[in-house]
Amino acid sequence: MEAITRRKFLGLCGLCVASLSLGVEGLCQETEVKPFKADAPEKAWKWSKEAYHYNQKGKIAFCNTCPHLCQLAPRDRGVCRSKVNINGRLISLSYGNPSAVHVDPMEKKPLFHFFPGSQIFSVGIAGCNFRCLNCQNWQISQKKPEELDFVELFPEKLVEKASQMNIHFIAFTYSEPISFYEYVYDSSVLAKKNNIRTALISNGFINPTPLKLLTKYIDAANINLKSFSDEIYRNLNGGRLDPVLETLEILSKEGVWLEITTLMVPTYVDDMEMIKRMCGWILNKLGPNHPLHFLRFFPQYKLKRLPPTPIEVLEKARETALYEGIRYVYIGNVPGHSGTNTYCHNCKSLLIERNGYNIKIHDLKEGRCKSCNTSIPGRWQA
Amino acid sequence: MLKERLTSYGLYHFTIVGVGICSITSQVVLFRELFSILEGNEVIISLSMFLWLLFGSFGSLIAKIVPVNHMLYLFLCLSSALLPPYLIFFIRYLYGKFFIYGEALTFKASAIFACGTLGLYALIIGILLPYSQKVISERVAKTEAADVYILDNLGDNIGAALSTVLLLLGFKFQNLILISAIPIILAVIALTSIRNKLLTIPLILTSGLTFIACFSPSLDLKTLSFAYKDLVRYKDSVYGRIVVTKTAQEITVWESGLPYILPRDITTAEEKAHYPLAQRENIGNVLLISGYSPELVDEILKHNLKEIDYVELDPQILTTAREFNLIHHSTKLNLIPMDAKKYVSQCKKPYDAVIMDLPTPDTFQLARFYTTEYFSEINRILTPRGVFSFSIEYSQNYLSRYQKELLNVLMATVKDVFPHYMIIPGERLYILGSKAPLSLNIPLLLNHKGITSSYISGYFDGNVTKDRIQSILSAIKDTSPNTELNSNAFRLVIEEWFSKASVNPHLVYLILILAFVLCLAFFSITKEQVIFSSGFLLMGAEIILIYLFQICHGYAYLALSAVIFSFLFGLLPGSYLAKGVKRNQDRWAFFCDILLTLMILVLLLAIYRGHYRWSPQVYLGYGFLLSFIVGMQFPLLARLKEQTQEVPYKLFSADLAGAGLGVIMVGGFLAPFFGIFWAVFSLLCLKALCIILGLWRQ
Repeated sequence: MEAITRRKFLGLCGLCVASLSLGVEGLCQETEVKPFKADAPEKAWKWSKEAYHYNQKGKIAFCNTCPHLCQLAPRDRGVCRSKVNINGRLISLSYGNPSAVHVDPMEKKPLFHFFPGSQIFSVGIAGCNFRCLNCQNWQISQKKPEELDFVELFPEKLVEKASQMNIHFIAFTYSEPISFYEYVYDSSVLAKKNNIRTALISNGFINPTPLKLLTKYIDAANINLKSFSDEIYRNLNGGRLDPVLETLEILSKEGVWLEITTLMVPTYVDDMEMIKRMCGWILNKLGPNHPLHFLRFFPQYKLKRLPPTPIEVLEKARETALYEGIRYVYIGNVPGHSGTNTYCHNCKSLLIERNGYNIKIHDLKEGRCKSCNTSIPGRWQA
Repeated sequence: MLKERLTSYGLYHFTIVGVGICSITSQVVLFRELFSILEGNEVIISLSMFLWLLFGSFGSLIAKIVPVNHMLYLFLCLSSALLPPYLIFFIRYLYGKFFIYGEALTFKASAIFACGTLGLYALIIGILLPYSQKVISERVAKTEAADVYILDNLGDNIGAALSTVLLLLGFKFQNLILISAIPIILAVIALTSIRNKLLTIPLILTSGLTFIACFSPSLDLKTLSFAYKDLVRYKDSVYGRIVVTKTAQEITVWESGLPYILPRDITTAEEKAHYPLAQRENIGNVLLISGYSPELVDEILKHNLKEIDYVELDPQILTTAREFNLIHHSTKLNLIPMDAKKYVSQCKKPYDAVIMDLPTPDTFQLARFYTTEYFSEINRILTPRGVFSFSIEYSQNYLSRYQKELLNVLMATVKDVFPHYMIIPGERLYILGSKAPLSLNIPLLLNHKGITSSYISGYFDGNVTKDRIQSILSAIKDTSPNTELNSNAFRLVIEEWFSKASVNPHLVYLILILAFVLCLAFFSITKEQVIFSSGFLLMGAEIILIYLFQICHGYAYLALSAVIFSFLFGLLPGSYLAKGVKRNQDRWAFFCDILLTLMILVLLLAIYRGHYRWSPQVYLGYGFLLSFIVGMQFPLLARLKEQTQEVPYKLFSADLAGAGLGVIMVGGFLAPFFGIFWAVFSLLCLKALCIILGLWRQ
């Protein structure tokens, strides 16, 4: 091979640099949230159900469960990894096959004003419509249902099992219940018939129609309001803020007992001005009675290069929220902190003392403060 | 004129040495910078090294089509000195620009990141090797590839020694770069002044400005803040970068990009301290291996014991912690800056509890702490009722396939040594081992001892439930324990890391095997295959030897650097000696291949018989001898090639490509997946295959 000219050599170098740049650009692609092309099985398996909320146009399925509104060609898989297009029909592969089945304390969800001290039968199936960089359940949420071990627990069996164990509550949690919506819905319907209450622990990224149908059957929800910034939602979670806010409004309006959790991710969510705006919105749209939990962040999953939230920041956030007018504000993931106790919003009497999952009812009786008889928001009697 | 030519000749040769010095020092500095941003697991380390050598290999091939140009050559030489500081800042900037702050990069992102930051520089270094021969031969006097090889090795050795010493003395990266760049800059300025005096001043100015920027504290801290917000200060120790950040009065100490001392982490402190210590009524001495926090010491002290010995590899961490008032003031706490394995193996003091808090085994360095051999040593220093405890990260709600297998392996390893063992699924998964029975009822035990707690008293019963324990116990199956030579735990941790990015590691390894086969096909001539396979063998053997050395003698910076250095140092006298061979070079090269095969066979037999616990001198001698023989081959074969062709581009390229593939295939694939024995066996097979192919062609 003969030596090339200087011009050609420079051209080659330019080509290399351009290729590298494209490669670097490719870095960004990894965080994009989009359906999976040609990733679905050829046919549905035993743990499947046709999706309840979708439209068809020829062989293309348009999912309407969540605001991602996935358009799936045959053999495509939705963002949530649970829903697939099989011959033009949208099928959920997350039905009756929970990978995580546990009995947890109610306070673990966290639900502090919903039958405190109770045990709740908790299930989670693979899949999630978010891509949170700090997901503590990523082994379930960021996987396809076919990839995980599971226990067969169809809705009837789920309700039966909870009853057999004498547990009056079922939580859909761990991963993202919206991704296994059909299972949640059917189970909630059956649970209601059997006097079992259900709770949704969710990111709240769901369309109004499926949500409103669900609210007829679920009793409580803890919605993760991950921040009050659309940009943070996109960068850290792969979602959007507005649909979550709409979910909160619907749940509150439909009478579902609602608690809100915010994980205080340092340098992102620990902005007090943003917390103020968030509290302002909550007060304006939902009212002051929905408990707000500020949780301490610890490095997790892909977000390992951040420090834990300073406790002072959590206390400041709680102070801010109380000052703004939210009546019940709690601090989580800080063992021994007094910020987990419940005080009457009127007379400040200690109603419930919490030491982790151990609770001691002090001044609360039949949902009222014993000292001043104020009605305390929540669901108090089983 | 003659004097000028001679001066030029000497200076040109000096540039090769200068580039060698720069390239090694830059490699050290750039890798340390990279690993403070990327995960420093074995795959990433091997991958970075592989990419560096692969780009170098490409560069050597590209050199063939680069036109001979004196100024271009000097420009490239100068780039080898002046690029690294800009690359350091570029690495930091790139992270800040393209990634979410706080994000740990996955495999794909890491690979692209490493390519984008190291590629150009490695390419330049690769070009310079054969290009220097081309330019000097055409412009000054005929120069052999052997000369280039020898001079480059000389430069590499000087660079390696320089960076080792300067790091030990606590010099920052800026000093390393400056000191290593001085020879090449002076040589380039001198050569430029011979040909074109006018260019000398801009050269001096450019060099000067680069180093001013390099030493600018504001630029340094500003770019570092892309990776660390609320940065207070940082220090580069020999083991990595230690950074201190302060957010709302809480101090976090970071080690190579990950939080090391976490502020006010009561949960972890209580679990680590009380799960093992609650087991026994009376606790005398406690050994704490890594994972320091003041809260942890507070919790341990609640047990009213005699002494806490804290062992930490990096003394800089302790110095930094002391500086920021994070070291507990208790007189019962003793700080021991030493490799933990070495400490335990030499220890004669009995302990009632050994609490190990190391990261999960994602490097060879860490893998040796999760083996039957190490657990046996721990058992030896425990009192009859002593308790050993360690923990791994896990998902509380669902055990993935990898986590289940990892748990199986670790439990098998614990069972192999301790008659009594227990799993506690807390915030982390704790595994305890002891010669005496253990109890799960931690809250009761603590109550009995009159010890109060925040996390355990409130959360233990809700988290460590019967159903969770049962689901974990039901996942445990019998399997082989983890041993020094066969670390399944290491493999599983790596596989799970791949799964975070939904990357199938088997696909990656298949691609590597394909690359290997392609290289063998590309370097199709016997001589090139010999150089390729020798490069592969040398790097592969180096990784194995470094790991074995750590097993036997611990991870001591100076000692380990000496072993690494021995693999570099032998190349120089070997190549110098081979240059004197005037006839039958191919036979001599073949003889070297036989010697290499025998040496690998000796290593294989030693591993097979369990006789690999050599003294440090033997490790050094082995490394030197191996590299000596490999060093002989290049000049021998280059001379042969030069009978038909001027510059042996493909030989230079084969050397680098072989080394690159050796690093990643042995370090990232063969050793973790198949164990040390089979990794060495594959080296033997490769060399034997090359010998057979060579004979067959003849």
